[in-house]
Amino acid sequence: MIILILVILVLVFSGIAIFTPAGTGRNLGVIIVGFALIALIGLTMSNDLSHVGMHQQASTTTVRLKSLTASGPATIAEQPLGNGTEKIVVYRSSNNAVKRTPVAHTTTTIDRGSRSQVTLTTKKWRFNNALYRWLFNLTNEEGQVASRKYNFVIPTTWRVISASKLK
Amino acid sequence: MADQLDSAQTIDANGKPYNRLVMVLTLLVGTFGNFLTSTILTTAFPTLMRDFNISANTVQWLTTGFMLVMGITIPIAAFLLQRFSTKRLYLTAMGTFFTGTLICFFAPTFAVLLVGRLVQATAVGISAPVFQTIMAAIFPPAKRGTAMGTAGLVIGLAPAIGPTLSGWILQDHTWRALFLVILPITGTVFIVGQFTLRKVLKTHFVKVDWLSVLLSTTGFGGMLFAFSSVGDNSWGAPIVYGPLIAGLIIAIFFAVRQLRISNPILQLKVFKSPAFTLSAILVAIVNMSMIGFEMILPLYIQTVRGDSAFQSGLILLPGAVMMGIMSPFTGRIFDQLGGKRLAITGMFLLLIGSMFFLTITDKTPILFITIMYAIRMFGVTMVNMPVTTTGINALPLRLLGDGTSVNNTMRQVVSSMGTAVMISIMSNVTASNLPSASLKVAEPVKYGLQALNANIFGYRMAFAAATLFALIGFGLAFFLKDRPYHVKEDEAA
Repeated sequence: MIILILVILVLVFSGIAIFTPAGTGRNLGVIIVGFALIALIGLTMSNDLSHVGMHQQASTTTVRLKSLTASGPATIAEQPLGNGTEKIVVYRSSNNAVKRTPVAHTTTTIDRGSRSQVTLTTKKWRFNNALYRWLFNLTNEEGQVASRKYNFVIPTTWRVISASKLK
Repeated sequence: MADQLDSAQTIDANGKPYNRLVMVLTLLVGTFGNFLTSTILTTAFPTLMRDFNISANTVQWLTTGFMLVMGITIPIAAFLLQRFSTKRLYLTAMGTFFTGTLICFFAPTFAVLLVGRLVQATAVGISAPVFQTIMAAIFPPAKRGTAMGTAGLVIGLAPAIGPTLSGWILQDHTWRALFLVILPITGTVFIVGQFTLRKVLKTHFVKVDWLSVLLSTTGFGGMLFAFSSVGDNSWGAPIVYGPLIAGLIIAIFFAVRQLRISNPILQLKVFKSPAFTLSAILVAIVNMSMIGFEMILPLYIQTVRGDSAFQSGLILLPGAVMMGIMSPFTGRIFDQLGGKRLAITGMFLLLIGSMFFLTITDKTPILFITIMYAIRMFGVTMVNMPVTTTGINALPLRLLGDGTSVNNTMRQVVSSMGTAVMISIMSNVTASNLPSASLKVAEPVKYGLQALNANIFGYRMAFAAATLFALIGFGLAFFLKDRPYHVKEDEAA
């Protein structure tokens, strides 16, 4: 909607600046609509750059893990990237699907505990209120992922193997 | 349009009546075909690289070489306009263009394709100024805004729809189809033009100053070559600064010679008119901001966002259509109100539209980009043709051809310069902000993110240059005169 307002304001501004007779009325009109245009573009830029009018909403899901390998000790696999600070974890969820953790906006940790599970905390962008939603409704920003955090917890009996051994 | 460009019988330079509307339509169609080809190949680059087994640097010469030859030919067009009939010149250009297009269509190798493109460019370098000069000459000053607005429709719209059109054609056909679609347009104009075009300016025998031709070709050619090479090299590379410095020195010699000899090929005395000079500077600045932006934005869309060339063409399309639709309207407004208000309003819109791109990200909604680009083009339409016409109207009829050619030469040189400046800012800022190569090995995801951010920052700085051009233009627009200029034939420029 902000785009529609912007387009209308551009037309109003052009109309006043080009066609109205010179005088205080015209000057006032040009200044007011001109500043409104700058403010509106400023708001659009801030929304684009730093998500002004939005906040992050976290949601958490926990899934039980199954072993990747059929025999031997239960396993999940790790594929280190570079020097190992970054990694992809390969795991089998309770519905038997083998999954890989994504890399973008994602942190992954593996802890030892009593249960075998992965907890995924996803933070998504949401509009602060109905006004912002109305203004930016065509931008598809609502629901965009801000960050993901995978926390794997596995018992000490589980092994973390290299993903290359799965092939 | 037909109402404005009325079909009243008009007298040509030989004193014979002719139908102005039919003549204008012939010119519009012919020039549209010519201008369409200036950008139609960019989308086809990946296909051509595959077919001819050549690199990206090599294939780019199809566009940069085109601009280079066009830049060399334009200054010579002013001289040709004094010497030869406008009809003969335009039709020769159309014939040459047809031949060039035919060579391209049948090209068995890349070298032949490039030769065909350069033949096309020679034709466009002549047809473009001839077209504008005829449009200015066949309308009285009070109606020139409408005429030039209509001219702006094809000059602005055709190159802008080129990438989208070619993306669409290439979905189902080979690159040869891009030339095949142009052939019937030019062929028809060449035949119809024999009957509908007229000689509209008086000509006289002028002795060619071949030294000027040589200086112009090497001077402007050197500078344009340098600007074309900045994309692949830095300003510090000998292949860039060598031709640039040499070109600049030769261009200065060329300018000094033009002012001293009695038969210059480019009449620089037009700059004695302050109104013409201001308008030429303003138009140059707008073009620096516009053309560079037109080249950089598709690069951002394709490299940062990973969209296709066809998609990037679609994003630019509303802005191009906006320019096409608005051009005749701004021309009519110019005829009634003059150029100053249009120019100030347009420059303001160009400025705020450019400002938006200062904080662009890799996730900026496509809708924002499309609309902001359209707002920029809306602004450009208010400045480009009206201000050009303001300058042209300040000149007497006998200097119209010179004024148009000076404008076109400046536009060509500064457009290439604007593009070069923006591309070099983008690549230099990106390079200086790239993370260290060791990070690529140690933490590739972090490296990828930082490299992307460096690239985005490079684009932002390039857009900042376009915004700065717009800001300078906005300030200069206030110095334009309020009312249209109407200069009589016997008034000196």
